[in-house]
Amino acid sequence: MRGVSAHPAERGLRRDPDNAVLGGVCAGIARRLDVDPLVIRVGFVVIAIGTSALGAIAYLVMWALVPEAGAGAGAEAEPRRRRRAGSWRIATGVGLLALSVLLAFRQLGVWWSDAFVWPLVLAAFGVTLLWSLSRPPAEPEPTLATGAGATVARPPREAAGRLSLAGFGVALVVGAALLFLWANGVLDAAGDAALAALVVVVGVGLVLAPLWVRFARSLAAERAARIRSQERSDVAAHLHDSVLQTLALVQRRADDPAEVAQLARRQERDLRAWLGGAPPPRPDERIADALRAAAVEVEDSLGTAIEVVVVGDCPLDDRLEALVAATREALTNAAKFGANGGPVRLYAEVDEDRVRTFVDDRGQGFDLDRVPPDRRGVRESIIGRVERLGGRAEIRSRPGEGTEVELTVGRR
Amino acid sequence: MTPIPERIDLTSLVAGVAICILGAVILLQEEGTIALEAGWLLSAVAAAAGVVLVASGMGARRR
Repeated sequence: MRGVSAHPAERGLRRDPDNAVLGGVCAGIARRLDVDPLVIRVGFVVIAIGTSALGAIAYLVMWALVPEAGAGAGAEAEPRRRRRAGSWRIATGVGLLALSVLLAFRQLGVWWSDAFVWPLVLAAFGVTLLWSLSRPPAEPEPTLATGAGATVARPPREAAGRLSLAGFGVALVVGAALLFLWANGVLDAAGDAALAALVVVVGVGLVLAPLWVRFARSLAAERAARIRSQERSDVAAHLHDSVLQTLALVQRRADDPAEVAQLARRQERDLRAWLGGAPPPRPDERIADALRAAAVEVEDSLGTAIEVVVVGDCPLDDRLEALVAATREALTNAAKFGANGGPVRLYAEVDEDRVRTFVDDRGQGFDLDRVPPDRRGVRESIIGRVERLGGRAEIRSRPGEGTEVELTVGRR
Repeated sequence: MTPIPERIDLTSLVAGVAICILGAVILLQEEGTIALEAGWLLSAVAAAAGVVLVASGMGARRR
């Protein structure tokens, strides 16, 4: 079983009774390190045998001393088992630590024999590798190109990597068996027979190698064809759900050009996001998504096209929420009064220390000094809101030359 | 504007400590203060490499 993250409430080492073979000590250590429990179990067994049962005594001591984790803590996270970053490094590190312990016990003289323990270590490594590979691999994340929720096929390169590792595991086990036989003198007695068997195996391997390569290639080709077919199905399903449905709506609303234009814009936006492989928007959490959502909202409510370009992104906080609100107000003004000169443009730039937005239109423009004092949209909702945050609001507009609103707010 | 707090790189820290300890052991060995057999040195090197790899793997998960 793939390791799972420790429960937040149980950060220290705990035995894991849900995945226990004996007392759950190995499962608990594996859960703490977030590696496969098999790695820890094999390490314990090898150390226990190599050190004349001292490892077993250590296990019993830990069984007695290490407290038990809360029931269900492991099962809760079980469905989310995934190959996590650094798993191989941790597994190799645990293996090296086990090797270090074995070497130390060998130096102390608590040791069976080199002819037994080292083949056992090799075999244990190989068996661990093979058992790990025999389990279903973690599901890969959906790629951006296929969109969220799409079924994702495993790349052939990964399958080839698993095959190579399996071959390495088999070689380790066979090598361990041969080493054991050689170290115990059995191979000398059966030397000629073993050599003959080895020659036959190599010969058969050479004969079968081309067939094996051809088989592997045809398997990869079949897999690639299946992936392509799956992708075609995904594209067809998406086109049906989005474009075809919109076209049907356009036919029904043909008498209302404004609504048809709005439907077309919405569909264009969705399609661009899908083709670009954009992840699902999070307008409550990310400023780029919040600005895009504000533009969509204004576009849908006022029927004016808004072109949005956002460079960079960062988490949304109270200050940036206020900036988004001020930008929305500027967009609304631009859509209401400046849309006759073409589309409204929103450009946003997220730096390490500040966020700037520019709302630009090519409309009639206006003179800020001539705006009546009772019209609070520009003065309060845009300038006042930004300046209260210690930011800066600049409005550049002249009658007949359009308007540009620049808002800058520092990040915390 | 608040400066971004710098995180401690766990792998570098553990690797640095491990190398310091190994260096000290080898220095003492060369000086003749201690006399370690090759097996002990090999065990120490394996332990150091193991600790660094575990720290590196755990560090990768924190990112």
